[in-house]
Amino acid sequence: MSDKIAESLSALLDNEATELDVRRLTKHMTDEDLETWRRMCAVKDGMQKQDISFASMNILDGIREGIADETVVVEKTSSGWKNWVGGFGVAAAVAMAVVGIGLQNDQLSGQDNQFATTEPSKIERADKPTEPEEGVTRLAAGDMSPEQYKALQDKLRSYMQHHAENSSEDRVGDVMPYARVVSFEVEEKQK
Amino acid sequence: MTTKVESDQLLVERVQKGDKRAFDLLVIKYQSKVISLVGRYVSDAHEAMDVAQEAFIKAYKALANFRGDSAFYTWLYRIAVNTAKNHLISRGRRPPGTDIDIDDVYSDGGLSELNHIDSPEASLHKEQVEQTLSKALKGLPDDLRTALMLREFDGLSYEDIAQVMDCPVGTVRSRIFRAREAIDKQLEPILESAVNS
Repeated sequence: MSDKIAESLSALLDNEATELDVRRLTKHMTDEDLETWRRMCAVKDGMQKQDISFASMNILDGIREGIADETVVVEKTSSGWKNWVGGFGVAAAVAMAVVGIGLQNDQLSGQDNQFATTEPSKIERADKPTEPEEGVTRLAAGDMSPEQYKALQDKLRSYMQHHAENSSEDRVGDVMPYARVVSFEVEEKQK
Repeated sequence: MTTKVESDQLLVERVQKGDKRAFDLLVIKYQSKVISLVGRYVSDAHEAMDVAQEAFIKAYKALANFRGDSAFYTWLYRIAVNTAKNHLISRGRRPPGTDIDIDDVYSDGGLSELNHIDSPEASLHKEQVEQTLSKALKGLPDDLRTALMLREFDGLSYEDIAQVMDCPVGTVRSRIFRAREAIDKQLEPILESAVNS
């Protein structure tokens, strides 16, 4: 038995175990380690002047047999109303981002060469790859033509509608579509 | 700063994620208490073991509904009491009028309530364990013994012991572990002989 396992058992006995200790134990513990745990519990009970007569009795085998076909799995999910609020919150955040971008572009539209600016887009995209994929040219928002921008806005509207429907179906757990919404990249295949 | 989570709660959460190994640890930790408790309702040691087994199985099946509102043992205690009572009723026997208090499980020593098959040997064994334990404690180096006794007899946390002994928490943890390791080396032959007899 490794010292690390025994030390984790000792900490567990004192209610001082960390999550790491518990993970280590449940992943790497052997039946021999379980016997060490049994003796540690017996010694603790003995020091507390408690009855240790039953410490060496093996009821574990019978219990293992009794629960062999059972598995307790609790999936922590939010309640229905929390799903709705969560979905609404995400949709609202995306809407605000769209409005913010719209306002920014409205300001730019009054200037010449609105989309020919050499200034990089101020929109930060967390998923922006460092290298473009093969066969794809990525354009920053500032490089878009009016037609491309309108196409993006239509796409965004469509996403918003789709995810509003998803929220009502309690599918807040699926955040990938939301991640896609904030990407304004236009993938243009090289001809 | 993170709030310390009870070790039992950590184990329960692992079980609730499908980890049965975590349940093994809980069973071994509480089996003496549960058998002793059940022994207050049924008189036979083997019967007490069977009922205790049944109680743990029921607890496992009900763990999905355990929210951690009470301590795990408090919850287990209730299941054990109900299992023992139901066992008596199913055999046409009447359960006692009042429940055994959770703090009184060991008050008389559960052994005196059970028709232990090998009572004289069990008593002798218990005496042997106590004597060896006492000798093992006295034989420990001072720093290990102090750390262990502050924990076991004074109930101090590792952090408090670290302050008392003016050392890091990691050192306290290591000292207590090494103290237990030294005791285990001396007690293992005696405890294992009880298993094999």
